Amino acid sequence: MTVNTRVLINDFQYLVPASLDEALRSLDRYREDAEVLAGGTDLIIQMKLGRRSPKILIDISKLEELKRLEAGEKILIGAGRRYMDVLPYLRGLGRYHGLAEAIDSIGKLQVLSVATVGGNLGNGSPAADTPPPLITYGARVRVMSAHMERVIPLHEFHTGPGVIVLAPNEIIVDVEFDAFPDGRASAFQKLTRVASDISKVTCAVTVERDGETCTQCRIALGAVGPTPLRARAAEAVLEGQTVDAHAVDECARLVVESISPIDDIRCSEMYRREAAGVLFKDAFETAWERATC
Amino acid sequence: MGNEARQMTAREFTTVGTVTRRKDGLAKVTGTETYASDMELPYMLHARVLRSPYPHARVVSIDTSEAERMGAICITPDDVPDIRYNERQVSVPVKTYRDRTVLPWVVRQVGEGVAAVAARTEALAERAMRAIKVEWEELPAVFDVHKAMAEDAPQIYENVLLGDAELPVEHNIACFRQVSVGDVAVGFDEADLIVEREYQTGRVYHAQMEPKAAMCRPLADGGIELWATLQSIHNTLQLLGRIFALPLSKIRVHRSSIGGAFGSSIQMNTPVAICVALALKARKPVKIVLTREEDMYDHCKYPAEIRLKYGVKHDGTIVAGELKTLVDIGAHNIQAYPLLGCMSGWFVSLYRMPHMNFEGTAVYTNKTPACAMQGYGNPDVSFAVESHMDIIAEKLEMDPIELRIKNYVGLGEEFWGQGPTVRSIIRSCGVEEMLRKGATMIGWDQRGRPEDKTGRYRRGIGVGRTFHTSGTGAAMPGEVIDYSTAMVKVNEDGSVDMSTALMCHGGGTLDACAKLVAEEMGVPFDLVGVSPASTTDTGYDVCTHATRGVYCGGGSAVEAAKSAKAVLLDFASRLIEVNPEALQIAPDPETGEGVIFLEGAADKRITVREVAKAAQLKGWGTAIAVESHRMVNCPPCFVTNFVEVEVDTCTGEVRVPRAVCAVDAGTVVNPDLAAGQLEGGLCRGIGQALLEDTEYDPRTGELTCGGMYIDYKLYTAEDMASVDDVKVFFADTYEPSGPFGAKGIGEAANNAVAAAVMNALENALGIRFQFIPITPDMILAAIHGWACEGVLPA
Amino acid sequence: MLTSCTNAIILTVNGDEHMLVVEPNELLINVLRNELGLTGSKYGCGTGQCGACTVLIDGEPALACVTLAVACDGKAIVTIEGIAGADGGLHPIQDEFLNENAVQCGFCTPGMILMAGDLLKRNPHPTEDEIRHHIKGNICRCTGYNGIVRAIQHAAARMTEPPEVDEPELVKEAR
Repeated sequence: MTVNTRVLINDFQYLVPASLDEALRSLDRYREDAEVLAGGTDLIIQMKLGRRSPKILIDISKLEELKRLEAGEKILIGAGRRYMDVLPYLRGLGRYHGLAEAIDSIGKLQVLSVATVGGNLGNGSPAADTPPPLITYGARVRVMSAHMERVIPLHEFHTGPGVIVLAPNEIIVDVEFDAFPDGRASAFQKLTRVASDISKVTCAVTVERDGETCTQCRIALGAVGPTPLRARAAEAVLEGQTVDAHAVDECARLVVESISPIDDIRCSEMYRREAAGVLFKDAFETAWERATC
Repeated sequence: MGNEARQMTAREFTTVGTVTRRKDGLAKVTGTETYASDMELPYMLHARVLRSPYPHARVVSIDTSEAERMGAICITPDDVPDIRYNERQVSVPVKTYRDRTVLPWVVRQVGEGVAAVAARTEALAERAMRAIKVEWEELPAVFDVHKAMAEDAPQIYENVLLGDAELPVEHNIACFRQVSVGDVAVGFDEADLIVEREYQTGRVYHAQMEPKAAMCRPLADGGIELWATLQSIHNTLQLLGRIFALPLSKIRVHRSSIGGAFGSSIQMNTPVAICVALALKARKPVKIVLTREEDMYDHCKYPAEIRLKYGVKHDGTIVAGELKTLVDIGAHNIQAYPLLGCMSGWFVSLYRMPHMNFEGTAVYTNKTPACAMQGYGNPDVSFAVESHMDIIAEKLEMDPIELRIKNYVGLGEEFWGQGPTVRSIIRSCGVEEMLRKGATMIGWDQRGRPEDKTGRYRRGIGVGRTFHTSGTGAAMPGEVIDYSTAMVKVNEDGSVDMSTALMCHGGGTLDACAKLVAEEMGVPFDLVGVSPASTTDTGYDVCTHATRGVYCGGGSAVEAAKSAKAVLLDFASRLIEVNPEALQIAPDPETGEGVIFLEGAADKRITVREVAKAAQLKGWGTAIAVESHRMVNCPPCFVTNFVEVEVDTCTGEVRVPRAVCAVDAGTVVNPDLAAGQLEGGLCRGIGQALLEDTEYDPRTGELTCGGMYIDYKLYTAEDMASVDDVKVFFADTYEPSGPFGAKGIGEAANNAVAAAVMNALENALGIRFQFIPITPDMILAAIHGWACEGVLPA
Repeated sequence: MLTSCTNAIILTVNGDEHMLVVEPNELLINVLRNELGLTGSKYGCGTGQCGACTVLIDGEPALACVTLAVACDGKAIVTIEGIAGADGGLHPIQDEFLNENAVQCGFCTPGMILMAGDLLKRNPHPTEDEIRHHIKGNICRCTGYNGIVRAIQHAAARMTEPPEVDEPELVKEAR
């Protein structure tokens, strides 16, 4: 066995850039040989397991440029801002329950105190918790390299299990989404084996409500496909329609059809299919209720 | 506090039964308690073991030259004694199966160590270990017991040793046991109803918080000193002496604090001998600490496939019972033979059966070796039997509790404490009290019928009852060694030292023994010290296992206290001129010390301190005694669990919002620690019922979870019921053969929980499961009618 | 063997400053235990799952088994050895852990106490649900958690009583 979780034997250089500029230049120089270190809760484990072996570790956890938290017409979350700060900020804004619930569900405070949304996205896991609600928010990811900056819609960010469109010399800088108008609300549901765990299935729903009509519906799921998935066909069933039990059931059916789950150590494909429909309904009901407030 | 446990009266006792703060508590809450994995010595080297990536392979060659060039000390099978042993030394030699060597030439599981290195740091040792080149010859492997017994199965062992005799192994069967009483054919003939079912329990991992560690210092005279995670320092001593051909007087094994055991260190674990071998070669101290993943490959619980058949009369009387079990023991036979004996004993001792047949088969596979885990086959047997009782009750339209009360083995009847060769007559029993009181507390009569339950969330209540043995004492020598040695000495200031090789795994065994000594000596608990222990300053104690710590270990401590007290009272009688038989000792609450007195004579009083000091100054001697003592009984500590489950029928998730846990431990020496055992056992039992299992990839023989907690999950605080919703109480009993009436509790806390959960699920859903753990997948499959292993037909 | 990758860092641990020379790949848990002899923080799993390695870094709980020592340069670390009451005796949390039978084998205890302290600093009157939520990252195999929850409830009650003396500091003062 070539795993040793007691010690890290990988050899690497550790760099602490004083600014984002410096970090980007280092990344540009070292490219595939380098990885950025934020909270480290994912990366260090991956390194212990021998799955990632950077020769250069660039510590970006202290870079203020990555720690912005702003609200106005848009909500901006710096990729390097700890979840422990982001969570109360979101709760203070009062509207973004889905994302707040997703962050809260990550589990232990010891992780929330160092983990970041940039790290969560950068890991590229299809089971990550923040992508589904962010996708339903229409979030955009801003990434930078030493040469340029680009904005990528989050639903295009993941291309495969653990694969994201980030180039080796790019850093995720922040995530941004439009502030909710009145009548829009969100919810997040997650199933795990125990209270602090990687997700078996997640579902995020964001709806906009006008009386009994759903004027906008966004549905995204995690851990049920090679990437976080957006259930567009299901969304179409509800958008512009009166919400009743039949419509919600039909929507749930399409949600289940839209996913491509697998069997893995956490649960079976059949379970994921069944649970996805249940989670969608739970999340929808909650979001729909919230949208009246 | 509202917790009944706290209201436990201490009968006529002064110290026993009171709530006190544990003596090792201060060190534990300040982070200064030193576990084997915390030990350090100057110039110590760190070790790493090279482990097989294959489930079954022969080592063709090992090239350590690169590792040695890196400065590491290396050992291979060539460098260690070629002696076959069994790492567990509890059974007598003639009943001990030996298939283990320190480093083997043939590996039989992924993760089996074949070489080891020691270097200045752990990182260096890891690098050196990875630089060793091994040439392997892969052999076919088998991971399933049924396949393992088939004609064409790969042979995992040609032969093993039983005692000193070579024993050929056929069909990978490690051992077999059959026990019967009466004639089951006759019994089943007489029955009005026969119920037969199959059950299966999971291959759970102990998940004790501290991964195994060992540190060995080689001594100048060729001897060794050892600190390690062990449940028996004396068994380790003897084994090391035999393996390394050292006289036992040159080996010193220290008792270290242990970060949880649950049975995983009854045997001398694999790192210990490897550590000793490295230290002897390096001539420097060597320390090894297993990673969590190595630890998960090192041992697991014995799982069981059980086929159970009961024959009953219309009125619910059981007339015959047959239990056949297949146990997948993995790559080594650590303690399968006594396990099978115990399982027959648990079966016999649950419910009366005039006719009984038990057959147990233990089978090798190329997986992690199984060893005892809390209950040692009892959770598995009880899971099957207690499920069966509910099925029978339903078919007979009897209340499940009444059925149990009608048939349970109780007062005056025979209890098999460790299978057929270790038997006792039951002299204290709280079974009915616990069932009736527990039923009231949980709301048994309001539990409803599954067919009446509706809605997404469904609740159900279930009961499970069983027992565990309090040690393995008996009136005659048997297959299993059981005795303890204790020393009690009175210090010149009136305090008392108690020295024993018993371990505390966390449940408070040593505190309980100190309380028993305090009670016997008549000194305050605060004045009784628990001495550090090693094999050179203690007599033999077999092991802290089999829930024997208080009953057997405490029993011998009380005997030693009695003898030391006799010496002390003899000294006292010389000073105050009273016949020693008439003297008593009791703690004086005002002065906080023990006082020797003659009842009714105000002038005939003297403190323990004064007597001890005078005896020293006058040269009479020290009031000290050593007793090696074997208990001649093994009384059952009965346990009952009522559990309420709540099932989300849409997601298959199950939680346990309420539970009632009761134990009959005789006199409860430490009420709060005992309550803690029940609460902990509840949590682990629910884990066995709903969550925990290890599985193997049949292509590679690797654990699917890789040995890591990322995918071997354990319940967190947020998963468990609220403190007010877990009620704990003790039956009001007194065990005449026990020290101040005490019995054990440890394993009993765990044994009936899975059954109670299973029965509660049936009450909630009307579905009976056969296999545990019952996952949400299985529950949804059962609800929706998908094909699913482990769901019983209606 | 020192290489050009080796870093010298300054860690303030339990109020004491230490200059340490570490390799970039050294984990905080090993530096605390091996270099500084503070063995109260434990290795339980190495993958950030069990919480036995919990320490406070700049006042926030973190998992030392997945933290690089070099990343802590200039930071203040608190381990269980730095927890005490105002008078140098037991902190109320430690005291209640002993009163309420929250300690069995003791291996999870240091991490639990640190998390309990962190909780009561943020939320002096937690509900039982909030307590369980806060310690969900700390596995205990022995107690089933009830004793631990009760201990934290009692500590909270004690620590929010109208103080006759100053509220106890969680960390010993620097020498």
